Amino acid sequence: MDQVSEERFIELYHEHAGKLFKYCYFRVHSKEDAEDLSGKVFMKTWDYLRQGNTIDNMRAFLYRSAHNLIVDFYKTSKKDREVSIHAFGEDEIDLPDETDLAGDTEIKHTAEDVKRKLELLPEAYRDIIIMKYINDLTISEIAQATGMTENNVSVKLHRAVEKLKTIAQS
Amino acid sequence: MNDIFKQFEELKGADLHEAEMLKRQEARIRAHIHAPVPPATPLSSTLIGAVVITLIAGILIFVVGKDSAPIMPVVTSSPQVSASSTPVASTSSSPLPTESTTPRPTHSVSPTPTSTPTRTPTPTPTPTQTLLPPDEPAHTSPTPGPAANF
Repeated sequence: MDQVSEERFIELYHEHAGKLFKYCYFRVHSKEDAEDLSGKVFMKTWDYLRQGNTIDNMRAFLYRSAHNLIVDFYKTSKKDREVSIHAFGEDEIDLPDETDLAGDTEIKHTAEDVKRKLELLPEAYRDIIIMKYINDLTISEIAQATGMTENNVSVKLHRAVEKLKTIAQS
Repeated sequence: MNDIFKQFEELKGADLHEAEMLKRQEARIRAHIHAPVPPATPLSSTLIGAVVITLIAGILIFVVGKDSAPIMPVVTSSPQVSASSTPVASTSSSPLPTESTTPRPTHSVSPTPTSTPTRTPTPTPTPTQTLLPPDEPAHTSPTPGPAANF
């Protein structure tokens, strides 16, 4: 992708923002964190383009940025949580905020139910399942987003589905 | 079992975000786009300055350390050798290697200013006898004489 104008970038934002927010929502605890992280993804992408870099697959690039930001987010929030536990006790731990989503009540309920089940999966499996079944990314795009090979993604996806079936049955 | 995949299908087409959220985010992104790029020069110049100062300090330490290197083992291994080079070596209590061959002179107790260190290596006893103060009875009066009677 060549140099992108502001208006073109805003168009790209409107094209991908909803799905990227959804991806972030299922990866982090709260809606506010998901909003914050998905916004940062676009800012980082703009900075990357402003430096003269080019992006071949915008969708894969956005999910890769989101994936990396979420990894960083968990690193920092883990530290913060440790500090708050030591400072104030366990009552201060931020509980997941699963309310206040957009959409009708049934979709909200479905989203919360799916999120609960996904949280029982290991981190790597959850990431791939969300990208594949909620965000509808291809194996190639998931490989680009996670930095794995396509073969590795396929193997992990298969294992993740098996694990998810076990969780759903129990 | 397949409920979860049906739920995935439902969520795939659903919008979980609010319209307000998109507006807020868009405003933030536009503000970010128009924000001036923070200059990288202050940080890089600071880093370059720190590196240059460190290099200069390192070179100075190396040069100064190289010049003073021969002194350091002498001081640490035998401090007596360094004391012998000082002009006040005669007052030191420890015997010096250079002066140990010469007999310890009496000039240290004699109050006369003629007892200079240049005269001490001379082994002839005659000058020392002439330089003795007159109040010593052993040399000035060979005979006990009348003083012995008192």
